Amino acid sequence: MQRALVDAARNGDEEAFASLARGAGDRLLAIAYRILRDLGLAEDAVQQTLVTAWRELRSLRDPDRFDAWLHRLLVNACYAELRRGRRWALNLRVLPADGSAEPDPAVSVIQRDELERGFRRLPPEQRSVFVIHHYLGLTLPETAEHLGVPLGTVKSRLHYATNALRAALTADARSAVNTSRERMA
Amino acid sequence: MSTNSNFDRIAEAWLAEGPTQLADRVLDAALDEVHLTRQRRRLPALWRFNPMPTSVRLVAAAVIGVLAVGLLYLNLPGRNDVGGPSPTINPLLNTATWTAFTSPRYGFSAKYPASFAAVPSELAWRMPNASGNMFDGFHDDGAVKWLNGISTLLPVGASRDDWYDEYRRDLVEDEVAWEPESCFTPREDWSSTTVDGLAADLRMSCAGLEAFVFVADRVYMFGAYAYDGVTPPTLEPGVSDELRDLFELWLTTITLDPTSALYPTPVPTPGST
Repeated sequence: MQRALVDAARNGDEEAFASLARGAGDRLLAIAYRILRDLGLAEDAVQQTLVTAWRELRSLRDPDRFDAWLHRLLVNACYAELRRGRRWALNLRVLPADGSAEPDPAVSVIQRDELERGFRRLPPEQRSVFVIHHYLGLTLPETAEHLGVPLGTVKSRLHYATNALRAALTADARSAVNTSRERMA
Repeated sequence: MSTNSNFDRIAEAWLAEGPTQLADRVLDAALDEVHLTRQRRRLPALWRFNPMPTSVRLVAAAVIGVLAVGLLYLNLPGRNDVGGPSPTINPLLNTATWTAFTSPRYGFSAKYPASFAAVPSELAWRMPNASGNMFDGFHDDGAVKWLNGISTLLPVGASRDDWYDEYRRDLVEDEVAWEPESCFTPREDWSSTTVDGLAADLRMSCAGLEAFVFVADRVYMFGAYAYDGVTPPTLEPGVSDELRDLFELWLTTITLDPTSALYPTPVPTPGST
């Protein structure tokens, strides 16, 4: 079904492309938000990804790899948004979020805060590997294919990202212990 | 945080939080733009699939050669009455109209198109962390096409390969990546050109071309880019013929003079005042 839509879209069928975009839109936003941690930037990245996908669709050699190709475009759009976000860091936008998933009680407020801060310190390439692997649940070889980088690079980036986030949480745990000791003293 | 599974569980629960639905207005805006956007044609590489036998190809090449010689003959001086109109020169590519420029710090001079604006560097290039104001740049009206020149000292003991590795890291692994990794072609895929009579390595990226020249202890980089700063470049290296022509012509106007480079500023020796 998707292959037929991709083939039609490659031949200039806008309706077919709109169907593909509707089918992928939510997933693209979810990934972009988790990499960028900013809804406005994520929406811009998704919009740019869809336009780029339409424009470059004929360069897609294998229609069965449409999803991986789209994710690669999205990740690169996220990198571009991060560059723009850094250049114009004060250009903040606050928009209502559509359909946000509820906070998980398994993650404490402090852990959430430390993860958020630790994640924002990660380079974009480590963020994208972490999100594609953990959020989409893809294997490492699949993650490498979706990002268009060698498997070794994926492993390396995931290793650094995981270590950095674990360190952030460990520091949080130490801080919590120290705080409780101070209170008891 | 003592086990991987514990960390994975927390991290995945945290990642699951947040928006999961794309707003209709965003999808509608994207599809509106799609409606106004033409799909880029991907021209097939005909020579790869050409089923012509070698003998036929040789004959075809010979015929083309004869025709080319014939056309050349028809356009010889004194025979313009039978040749077609003389080709018009793209004003952008007419170096006779270009403006001269001498780098204030990097040890080169060049010319740039008259319709371009020059933006001299404000800071010296210290790798890593090149930023826009470190280049001597020349741009067109829309600041989409850029010609950039820059140079820096090769670190003591560093080889050309070391420097290229550092440059690559700076580009694709910096905290804010300048270009996607897929745009940085492996060294073996680079080609060569000349700058001021010296051999230069030529790298094609997704947004432009860069030529590198090593002179004594200095490395020069000259680049041509087409990037509007908003639209991400395509994910495969490649540039337009127009940009390539402009770049190749620009390189012919460059003269290198490493002895006139100001960077690095002499560092005072300890104890001196």
